[in-house]
Amino acid sequence: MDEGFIPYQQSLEDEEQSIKSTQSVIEQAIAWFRAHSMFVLAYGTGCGAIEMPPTFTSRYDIERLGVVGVATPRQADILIVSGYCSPKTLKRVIRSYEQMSEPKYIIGLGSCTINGGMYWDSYNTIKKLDDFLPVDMYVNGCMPRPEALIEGFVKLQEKIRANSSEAGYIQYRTRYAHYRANQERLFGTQVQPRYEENFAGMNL
Amino acid sequence: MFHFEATLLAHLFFGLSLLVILPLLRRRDLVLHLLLLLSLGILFYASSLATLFIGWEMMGWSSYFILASSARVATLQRYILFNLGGAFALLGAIALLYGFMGSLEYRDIDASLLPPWAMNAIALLLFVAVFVKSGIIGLHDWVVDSYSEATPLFSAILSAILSKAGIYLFIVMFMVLLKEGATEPLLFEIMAWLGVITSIVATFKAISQDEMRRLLAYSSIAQIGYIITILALMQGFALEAALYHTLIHTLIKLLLFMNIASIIAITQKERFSELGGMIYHAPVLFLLLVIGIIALAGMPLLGGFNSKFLIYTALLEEKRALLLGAVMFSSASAFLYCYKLVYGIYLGQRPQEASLHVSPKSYYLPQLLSAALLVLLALLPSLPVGYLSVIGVELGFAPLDDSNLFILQSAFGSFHGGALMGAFGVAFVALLGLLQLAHSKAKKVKDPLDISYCGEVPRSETNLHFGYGMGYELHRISFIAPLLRHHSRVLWDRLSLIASDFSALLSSLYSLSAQHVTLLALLLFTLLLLGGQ
Amino acid sequence: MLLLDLLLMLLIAYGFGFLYYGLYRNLSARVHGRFGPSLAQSFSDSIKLFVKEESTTFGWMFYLGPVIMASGAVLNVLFIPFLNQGESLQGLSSYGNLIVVLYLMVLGPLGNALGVGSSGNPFGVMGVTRGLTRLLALELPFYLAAIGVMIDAGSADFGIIMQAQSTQSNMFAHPLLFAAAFISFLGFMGKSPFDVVGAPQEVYSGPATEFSGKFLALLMSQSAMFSFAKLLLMVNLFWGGADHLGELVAKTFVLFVAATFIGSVYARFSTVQSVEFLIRIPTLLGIVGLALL
Repeated sequence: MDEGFIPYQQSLEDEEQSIKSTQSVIEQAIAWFRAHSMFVLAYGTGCGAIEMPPTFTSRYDIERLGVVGVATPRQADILIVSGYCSPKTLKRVIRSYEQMSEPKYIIGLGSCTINGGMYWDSYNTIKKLDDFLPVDMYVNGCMPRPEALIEGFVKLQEKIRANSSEAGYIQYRTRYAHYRANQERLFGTQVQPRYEENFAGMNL
Repeated sequence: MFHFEATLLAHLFFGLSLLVILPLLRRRDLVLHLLLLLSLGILFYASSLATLFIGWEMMGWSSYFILASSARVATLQRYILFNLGGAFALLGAIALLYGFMGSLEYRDIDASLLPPWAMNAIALLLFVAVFVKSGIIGLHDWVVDSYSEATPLFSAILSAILSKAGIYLFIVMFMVLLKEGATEPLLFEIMAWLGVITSIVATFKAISQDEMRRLLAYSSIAQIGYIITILALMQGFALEAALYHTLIHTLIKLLLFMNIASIIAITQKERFSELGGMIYHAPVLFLLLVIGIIALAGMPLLGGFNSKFLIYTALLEEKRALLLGAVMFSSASAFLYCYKLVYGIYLGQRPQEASLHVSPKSYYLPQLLSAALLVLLALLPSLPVGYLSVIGVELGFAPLDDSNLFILQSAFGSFHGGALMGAFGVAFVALLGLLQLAHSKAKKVKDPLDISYCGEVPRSETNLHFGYGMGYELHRISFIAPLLRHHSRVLWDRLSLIASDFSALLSSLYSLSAQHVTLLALLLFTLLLLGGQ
Repeated sequence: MLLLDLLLMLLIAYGFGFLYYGLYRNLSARVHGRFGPSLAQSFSDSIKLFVKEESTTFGWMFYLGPVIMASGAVLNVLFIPFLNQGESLQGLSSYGNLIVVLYLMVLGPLGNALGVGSSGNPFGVMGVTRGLTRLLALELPFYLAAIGVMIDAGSADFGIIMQAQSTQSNMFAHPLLFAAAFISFLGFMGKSPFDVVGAPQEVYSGPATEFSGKFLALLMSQSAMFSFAKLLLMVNLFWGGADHLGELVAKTFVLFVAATFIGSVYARFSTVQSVEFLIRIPTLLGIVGLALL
């Protein structure tokens, strides 16, 4: 295989093509609809919140991609955690994520969600969001501009269309013990209700 | 001459309800209830004004005694005072009629002989009697208090049956006996507007109530308001609409009050603020109440729409656009209290876990019967038309067309009850199937507190049921807020103050010292002497 | 034959409902100086919601709420004739009339309100309360206008109402009534300034707060059909109905665009403001219009 940036990009796209071909037509259609209609719960945890309004309004107009903001987690597909999280905020973020319907995805906006960013040695913000919730897409930067966020959405669209079994929500279900342990370590006794116990069963 | 088929009313509204309720009564009350039944019989099968008046009076005091077992003294006094006032007005009207006719028999009454002033005076007096019994706004305080303080079962009787006595009196007097009389048309005009204003004000008052039975009492007043309005048109189709609405209202109020009686029996609570979330404890009662409120709101698919339709078309036929607008406004506002009723009791969160009792099984029977009839009437809206038309035909009006029981005919169009029900049923089943087959799987939350609440986890002590306060914002709307104040209560309180002052003055005459009495007697004597000259 | 006709009506309402909804998002985006999503975006949204893996429910009443709401919308479409002549696309209109339709329009929302209430979410009930409070003032001008139209035509039957307008449409014959009904109609469409019911920042989407997945999908689909039914109602009452499908599309489109443009530039009224506005201006217009009848 050739070396260099463009062949590298090409190899990634080929990989996606091969994943797609394993899906049936209906699965592909479902994935297409999911990728082209993204309801976003924009959780303004930190300063990243300031970058989201321009993304949604006239100048950047992310509605072109089918991205719409919604108010409640029940309706949302994508949770944007925009920046640092204090434990107090994180509790609400976790609760909101758990109330979303599957399939659901998380975009971590800004460096703080990756490694704490400039809050690395803060006494009350978490460093790594992925310890507590499965992040599907990071958009790094401090702060990332709307263009970067749009790029993140486009990448996430590709990921959704690939319909991989490594999607965050599947991870969260299968490796819940891991996430729960981290959450309990952080919150101590004041933890949220357990996610597994949220539903009585698959019925009316 | 007088083959009075209006007595059919008795079978129609009252016999049905009483038969349903009587088996439920405790033995102790039974005698009084039988007395009440007897008084209704006398009232409805009377052939002279004297008998009518006796029935009217008996109805008043027999229900007073029943009420006495549970109501406060102030309520009882209010009840008896208002009803006595109405009865005196009725007596005055009868006396005037007797003065001109020389007889109290129905068949001897010929209203065309009455001079206009006498006819108008009689009409006014009768209006007072009718309005007091129907609780026209300003005269409604006793209705609300007695409905909410009676035993739950007796509230049902009061609302379903006794509230119709005023309507009966109006029909008998104005549409039968005094039909030929030269009553000033303006009086009926005023009555029509009084009826509709009553229904609007009572609707808003109902929305702002916290007690279940007070809400329903105001709702009864509002519904009777429509009937008064429509009767004031003095037309055949209006009479049929009014009778139809009376029938529907009887069924609905029986259903709703019995439902609330069951809820009171289960929870021992009377207020929306103390109830909530009963749907999964009593699903059957919930469904019955839903049938009741959908009918009360006058939605198609249940019987309530039929009578609303007849009322609207009757008003349209008379080209009373503004009156109809007001009636429809009141009817649309009623959705709010209908929803408050079902939300406050059955929906939302349970406020706290309190012990629940079991509702007596016998309470279900009248509810089921009423609900079944409401559904049947929705399917076959013309079913009672033939029966109702008998009265109109006897009074010389053209009957409604009921050749097809599925279709309710009126001058302004018709509708097919079966088609409505069928289309809704098919659509409902198809959409339910679609939802069941959808790729998405429904998951039921385990904890009812797992609601999306801005990321918070509400605790059981968090008050999530504050929706019972709906209607509070009506106080902030400048057009509606003045209607919600207690004008009439203030008015009557003032009147009672004046009356008690006056009687205190009178009684002070009896407690004077001997000198003062002598002085007064001398004064009186002198005055008499002077007057004699 | 009738069955085919009914299915065709539903299909038209569904298709045009979503088309207009997409158009609405596009047009308001243009007003904002954006490009907006594709025309089929709302349709994609509803399909996506139908194929979400899971939907949260709170019990059987919650499950049935959207079904009742959607059945109400279907009934509305079926009981309003699409055309003012001929046999086709008349639906079940001969079995009902204007009064039936006016009440059917409220049946669905009330059924859904039961579902909303059973979720136990206070925000949902706040939305419902706002909606019902606004409704009492919203319906008044529309009722007044409808009463005028019915008295003018001498019937509540849609066919006769449309026939009565063959020489002059009600919009020109009774401009005041039309103005009253149009302002109400803006509210019925849920457009600004009367969109306080589902205000996301205040009541967390209001009635729709707890609906997810297929329930939301059903609600979106019925809302598209319902909007088309409301457009139809206005066209039939005030613009004399339509002779053929092309005219119907043209007329509903014009009405829809007018509503969209007005909705895009007005700020939201609070509940109290909208009730007071609706009782003041359009109701007064309606009363004067009735007096001039």
